[in-house]
Amino acid sequence: MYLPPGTFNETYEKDMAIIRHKEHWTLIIVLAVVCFLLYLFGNNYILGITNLIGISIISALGLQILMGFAGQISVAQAAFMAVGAYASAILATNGVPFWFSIIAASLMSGTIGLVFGWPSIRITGFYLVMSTFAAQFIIIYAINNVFTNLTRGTLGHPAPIPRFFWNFSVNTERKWFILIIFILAIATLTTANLKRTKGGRALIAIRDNALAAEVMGISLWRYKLLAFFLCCSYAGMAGALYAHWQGSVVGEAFDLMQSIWFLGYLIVGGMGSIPGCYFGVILIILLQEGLTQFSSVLVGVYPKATSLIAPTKPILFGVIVALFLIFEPKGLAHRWESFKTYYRSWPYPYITKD
Amino acid sequence: MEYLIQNVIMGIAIGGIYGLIALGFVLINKSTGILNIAQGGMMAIGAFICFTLISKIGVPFVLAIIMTLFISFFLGLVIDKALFSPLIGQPLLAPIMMSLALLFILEGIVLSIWGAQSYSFPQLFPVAPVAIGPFVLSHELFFNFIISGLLLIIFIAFFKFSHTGTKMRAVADDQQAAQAAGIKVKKIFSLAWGIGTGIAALGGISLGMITMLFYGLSYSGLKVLPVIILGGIESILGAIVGGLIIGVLESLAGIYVEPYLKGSKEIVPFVILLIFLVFKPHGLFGLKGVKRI
Repeated sequence: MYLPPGTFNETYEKDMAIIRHKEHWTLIIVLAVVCFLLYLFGNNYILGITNLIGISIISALGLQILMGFAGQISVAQAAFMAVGAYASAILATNGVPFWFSIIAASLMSGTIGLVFGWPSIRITGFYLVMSTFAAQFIIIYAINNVFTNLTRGTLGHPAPIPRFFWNFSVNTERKWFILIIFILAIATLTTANLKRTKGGRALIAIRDNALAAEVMGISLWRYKLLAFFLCCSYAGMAGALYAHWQGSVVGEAFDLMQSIWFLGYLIVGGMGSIPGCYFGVILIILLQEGLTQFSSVLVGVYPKATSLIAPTKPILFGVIVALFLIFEPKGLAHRWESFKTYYRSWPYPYITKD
Repeated sequence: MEYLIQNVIMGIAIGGIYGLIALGFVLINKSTGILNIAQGGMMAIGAFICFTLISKIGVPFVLAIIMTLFISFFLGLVIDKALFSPLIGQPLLAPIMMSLALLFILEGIVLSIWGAQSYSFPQLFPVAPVAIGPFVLSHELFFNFIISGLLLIIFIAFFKFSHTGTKMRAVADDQQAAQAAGIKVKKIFSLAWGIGTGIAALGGISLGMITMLFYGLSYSGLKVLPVIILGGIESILGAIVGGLIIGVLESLAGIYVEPYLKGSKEIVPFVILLIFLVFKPHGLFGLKGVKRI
């Protein structure tokens, strides 16, 4: 692992710290300043996009634990978000406080994730994709058709505005921004911390070589299910936030396409990297937004172009993912690393050639 | 009782189409090792090309099908060269992701050319159904069933006896060894993609004839996934048998479960898929066991 000059690990605490050197500090300060500027000067439109990005990053972080760390695959992330969204909306409507309802929603989503992660003990690769495909369809079907007296079927369920002590309600994009950034920070810290715990190292060992990991005494059963549980509870948290942020929740918002977008975030961002989640989500959502803006301008000029707008989203996704798979399979995170290397060794690029 | 048998016959006929679509999937998987989730998208685009040839340009039916097969064959070659060739040697996730991307690109293309409205094929067969004893079956279903049966026999024979078929099996088994034996692996890949796309187009035309023709056809193609897991992903016979079973179960669920649970017809294949994954992941006719850890 690269450490910049002048980093001395004099104590165990320093060696284990999450924030270890100047580069980390710079990154955090830049992020904090950007968030502060957004808070001060962002209008509702910009803050809305930022909130969507924040929620998506929380969910993508969960998927990163499952796919990037543990090497399992899931194409049902949106369905697990739906579980969390509905759970929290139903609980909050019945008077449960916001914090309890989102935590309960994330636990519930995690528990359902355990059920659908169960086959992962016996199967890998493509078969796991299939089992999560089934999860996606079954969960959304169950929400829309089976538990209709709880979820109100396809009509959607209202999700109340969160209220904290003394009737302080989170009702503007600006207040939501703080709440989401706060939870996002916790989620990022937890994920970064996971990498240095016993469980996180076990997950990475399973990804690299499951047989060797089991020989070393890592219980595949326990840790694969742990990965599924964590992945789905992050999704549940993100889903719950999404529900309350939108004010209502519909099953259709969490279809297969959404789930596959999440895989796309990771492919574009880079597998197994936490900054990668940020890069992927931000790039794709900004591109989507840009495309929406561009097409509304286009329709203003050529009204006939309306029929061309619906297909742009799937084509955008397909083309981005295909380009990244062919030209940069390690994702933007790798690009970022190589940029740092270049910057560090400039103007003598040959000193880092190996 | 007669109602039940009538529905089973309907299910078998629709299952034949599922089997046909699954056949294309198995064919591609058998020679390239790629698990192509975009089969549904290839299906939709083939069906739309055939529809345009028949109703917009006015090509006779049989000729239109043959032309569609040729166009699809070349589409398959393009897909292979442009998207999947660069991925050789990358981990399993890459081709799966690429096929998902392909699914969306194809869906987008269908949407942008033909729009979101639905079409129906012109009536090509007599409206009066075919009578099988006391039971009836529409001409379209009957025709499709015959086609899938024929293709099944052709492909089993092709893989068993023809030179190219043997090469394809060799490539699927071990790419390096096949290359060492003088087989042009990339050529085999292209061929498999071409034929696979052609079969998908046939499946799409069949499905489009009995239902509506709209862009969501690419999602009906996802039903191929339960079929192949049920049959075993390397088995041609498994694809057809799996298709028949899923077709019949779906048809039965349509009459027995549907009144209690709305929309259960769509979900039954996936429940079966999950059950099979837990208890018998390599399916009924899977040649190799799934690697278990």
